[in-house]
Amino acid sequence: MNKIILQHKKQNIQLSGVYELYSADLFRYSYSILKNREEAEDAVQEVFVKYAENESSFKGDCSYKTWLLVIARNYCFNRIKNKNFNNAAINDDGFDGIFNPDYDMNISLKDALLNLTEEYNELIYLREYEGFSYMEIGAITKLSPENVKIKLFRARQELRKILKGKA
Amino acid sequence: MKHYDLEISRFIDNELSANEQKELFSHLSNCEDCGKILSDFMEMKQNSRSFYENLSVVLNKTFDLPFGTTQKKGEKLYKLLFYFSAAASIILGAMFLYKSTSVVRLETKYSALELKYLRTDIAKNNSHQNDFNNKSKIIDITSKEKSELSVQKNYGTSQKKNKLKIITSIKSEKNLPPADVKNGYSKLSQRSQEIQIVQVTKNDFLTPQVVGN
Repeated sequence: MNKIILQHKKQNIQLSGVYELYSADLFRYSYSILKNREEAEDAVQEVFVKYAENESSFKGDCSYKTWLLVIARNYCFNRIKNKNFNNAAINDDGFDGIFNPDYDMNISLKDALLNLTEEYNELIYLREYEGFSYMEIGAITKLSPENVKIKLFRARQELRKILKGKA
Repeated sequence: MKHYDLEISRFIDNELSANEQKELFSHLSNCEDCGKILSDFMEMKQNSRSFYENLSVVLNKTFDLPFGTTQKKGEKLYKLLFYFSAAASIILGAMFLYKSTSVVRLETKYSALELKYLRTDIAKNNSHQNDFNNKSKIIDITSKEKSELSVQKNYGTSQKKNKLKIITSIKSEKNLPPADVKNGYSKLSQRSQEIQIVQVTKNDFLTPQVVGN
């Protein structure tokens, strides 16, 4: 029994390390899809519980981060499909007070991103923030690199259109 | 004039080849619209990045792995098998103990003499039907005792078990409505299907006779 507790503690420490390393980015990514702070926090928790349960099934054919992002993505889209998902999340004000108030573009960008579809929003996040290549984005989103290229272009067009409309 | 907006998107992602870049730059020098698109895309890229960089990440919930989630599937299976075998051992042990006790009781606890006393005792107190349940007793008898009692197989039950249920509160066989007898038996058989039931009436002690089931 003590051995099990020790093993549990050891894995908890390891997981805490992984959590420290990736939780912020997982939160951002979850937020880009769910657009709600509370929901994104829940997503991060769920991802790490799933990670703990399925750690042994990690094959090493991608980076840990990519694997965690895939888990997060599956959770987020399942959550959106769930009838209980709070659609009012769109109005969540998680971005407020974060940007430089002198920079008006940021406020507009916040609104524009919140109005963008989950799929486009996640592509923008994965490309602009994470800096992933089309291939890497395809590995996470299960799209071909060609498809990623087209969808990312459409996401930018859509974002630009919203920003222009706001202006 | 063909616009190069897709190429612009690829360009800001560094996904254009050298030749494609050359072609794009030559186009940009002549197309104001595409120049504007490039400018907007670049600005959006920069702002989107800073947008997520500056997103405050305050994870209020502390992360603590629920105990048991680290177990591998194989370990869970072994654990289940262990519990299953432990339960099976307990059940088998209980069955063995129960059987041993029955044998001891059969041989030592009830003699034919005690059985006779019990019958007499019951016969003395058989005046009230309400005492039916109180005076119901289960006793064990040996095969020899069973043959001495000349149990009648009126109700067709098997007599493999050397157990005897004595029921009182019946004044005479003649006054006993058949339905009551049946009810009495059915009640008892609900409690235990395997117990042999022997009904002892007042007449049994006048002319020793036991009705068996």
